[in-house]
Amino acid sequence: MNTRLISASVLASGIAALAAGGALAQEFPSEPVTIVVPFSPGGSNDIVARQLGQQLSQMWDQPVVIDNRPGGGATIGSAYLAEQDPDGYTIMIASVTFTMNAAVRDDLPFNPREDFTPIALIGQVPLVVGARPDIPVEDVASFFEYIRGSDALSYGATGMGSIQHFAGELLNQAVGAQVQVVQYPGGGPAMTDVMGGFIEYSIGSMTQMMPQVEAGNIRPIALTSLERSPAAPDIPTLNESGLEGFEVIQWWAILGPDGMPEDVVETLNSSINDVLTTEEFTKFLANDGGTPRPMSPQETADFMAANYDRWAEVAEQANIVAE
Amino acid sequence: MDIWSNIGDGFSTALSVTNLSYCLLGVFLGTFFGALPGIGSLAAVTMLLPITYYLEPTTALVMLAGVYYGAEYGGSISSILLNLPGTPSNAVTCLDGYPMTQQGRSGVALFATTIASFWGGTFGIVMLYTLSPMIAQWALAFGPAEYFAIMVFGLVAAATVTQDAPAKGLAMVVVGMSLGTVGADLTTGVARYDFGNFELHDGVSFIALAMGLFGVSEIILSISQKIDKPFIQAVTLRSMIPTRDEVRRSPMPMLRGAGIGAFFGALPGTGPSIATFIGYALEKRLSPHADQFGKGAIEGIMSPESANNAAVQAAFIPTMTLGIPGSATMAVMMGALLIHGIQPGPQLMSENPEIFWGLAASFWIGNVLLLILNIPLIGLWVRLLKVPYGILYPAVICFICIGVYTVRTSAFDVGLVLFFGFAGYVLRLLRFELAPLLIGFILGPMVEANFKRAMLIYRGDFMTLLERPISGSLLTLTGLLLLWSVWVIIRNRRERRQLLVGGADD
Repeated sequence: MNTRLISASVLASGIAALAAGGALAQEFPSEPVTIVVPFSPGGSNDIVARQLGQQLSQMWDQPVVIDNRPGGGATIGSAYLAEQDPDGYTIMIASVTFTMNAAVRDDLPFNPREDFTPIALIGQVPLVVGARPDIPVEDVASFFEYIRGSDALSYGATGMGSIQHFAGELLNQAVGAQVQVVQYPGGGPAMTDVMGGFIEYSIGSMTQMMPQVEAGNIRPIALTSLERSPAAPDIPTLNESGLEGFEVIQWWAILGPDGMPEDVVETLNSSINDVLTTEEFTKFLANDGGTPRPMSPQETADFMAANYDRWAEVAEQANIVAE
Repeated sequence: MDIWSNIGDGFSTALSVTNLSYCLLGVFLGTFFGALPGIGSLAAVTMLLPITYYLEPTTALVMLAGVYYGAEYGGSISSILLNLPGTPSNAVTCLDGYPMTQQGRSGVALFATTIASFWGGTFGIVMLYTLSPMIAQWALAFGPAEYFAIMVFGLVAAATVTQDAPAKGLAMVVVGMSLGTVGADLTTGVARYDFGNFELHDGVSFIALAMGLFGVSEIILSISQKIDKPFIQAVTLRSMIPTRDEVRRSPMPMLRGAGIGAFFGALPGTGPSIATFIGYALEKRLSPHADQFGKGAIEGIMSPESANNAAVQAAFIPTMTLGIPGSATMAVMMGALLIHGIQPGPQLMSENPEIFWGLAASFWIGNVLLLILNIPLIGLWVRLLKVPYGILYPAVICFICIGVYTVRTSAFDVGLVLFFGFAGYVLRLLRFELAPLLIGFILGPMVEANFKRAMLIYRGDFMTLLERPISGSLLTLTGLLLLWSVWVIIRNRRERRQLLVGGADD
């Protein structure tokens, strides 16, 4: 009788404690959270958002819904987010392309700098300059020499104003070369033409490049990040090979609509940063040669502002403008 | 020797209870969605992708692949019975499959497509096994110039598919190509013909176009005709027995179709739809009874269905060996692999042999399962379509809208499919053929993009296109095809005139 009572009360207080703890920890997401992905399923934004969403969902014990709203080169999803309630229950993944679009297009139905609340940065992945296997160069220096020395060369990118295009034009500017850009519908088709020797190189994500590099179908010339990647420590960076400060990286951030309450932004930011530091997430990004890059909301906002400025400048110099 | 042990390991992976049951589930759901008009393999795979997140990578792939080729199998059922292509690549099957239904021979048509699909699938799998390394090398010989040449060849072949009025056929190809120009141009970033509309920035949805032209317009046509069309007949096993003549005429188209399908399936950028059109065009050209095409010729369903399923299996070759998805559906499949942290590419076969060989083995098991689902259980699928029109039509419109919506989660595309439905209805009333429009839509933008690339790479030198061996030969072949079809037209006209003259003499 006594023991039963005791165990019952222990149980009861245990439940109470759990419930209280739960209520404290879960003030913010008291209902499912939606992450808008402004692209079709299967792309890098989608994959990163799904991994993040799954881990956030476990942490919050709330469903996290991935809502793919592709179209208009991320315009439709972004415009949709800008119109949502700024309550933190609808957020969006954005990548470096989001800040490049702002530099290239003047027809966006929203103001990229004003209509969103930067919440957190997720991580970054360097790009690789991948050349055809029989390109007649020995090292990065002779590669520069080679592309500077001919006006009949071409490189592949994935569309006007894409990250590959920006990286390629920045490389042209830095080296003083005039390699012609040729646009492809995706990184895969561009790589095929590199492998086939139809174009000299393309500057693609490590995810796409590394399998072909390992198979010997593509020659890695250099990385576009400031530092070497642990995933491929043998590949030099452009930064260390004479183009000091050369940096074009793929990154992802989480944005909300404009006017989000500060405490919700802080909660989201710290939850996301908690995910970023888990071994699971670090490993997930490391698969693609990437690294998490936790930042405070303010740092994220500054980082994005710096990106907007930088791409506007590159676009103007290289004349990357739609129309 | 090594390949046999790989194949053996593959089968033991694929035959595990889990993989086998998910394979069955995949092909069952695939046939189900494929048979429903409006929901193609792309929509089916995309819709079912989320439920595979929690499966083992191999199992997830086995199931999704089952959905993909199951949908291509199932798509022929509604093509034949309702004249509604279940998936865009079954559109050609309507041309002769539906006339067979109108003649009360849907059983034969369904049996024939199942056999053709099974053979095509099997051939594609054998190609996947044996040619993966070779095709990977060979595909690299295709650059922009070569792609341009092969697309032009495809367009010219497409223009000759048209039966009665070549001018009307050509006009439809041009309309298709024009529709294909809508959207942001890759090279300049300029949005063409989008009228400031962001939904049109990525171009007109192929699914919306195909489903509008082939699905919605058919329904409007049937409603406006207000007659009870020969309604879906009971398909008994006995009604599936083809005539001796048909049995004799079937094997060669089926073999050729499989070859064409494996070729275009393995080539990134082309795929099942193009393979079916080219297979059909070839058979029509080769057949001694070309006049029967469009009126229920057995060759007209054997070749495209064989090509379709061979292409579906062969499409895995570039994806698995090069990590390059050849089509939108394969892009979703590749996304599924990446979600599970597996990198498709040359490393896949060495690093994850159980996935490559297990998946390949599951294809064949899946094809056997489909044979079982489609012949003895055909009644089930027919019953699915045997709902009264009053219920079926609104439901089909709903399925079409849901299917179109799922692909790009776009309400705009739903409006688009209805628009194309009305446009297709008007064009049909004016006796225009709609298939060439679709071909123009698929091939037109590819021709343009590859031409632009070739011109950029070769700095505007047209002669390069003719000097490069592969593109040169293909363009020569295209020229010969054009000359030949002109000659055929002249010959036919002369014969007709002689016939008329002869008639006058009597």
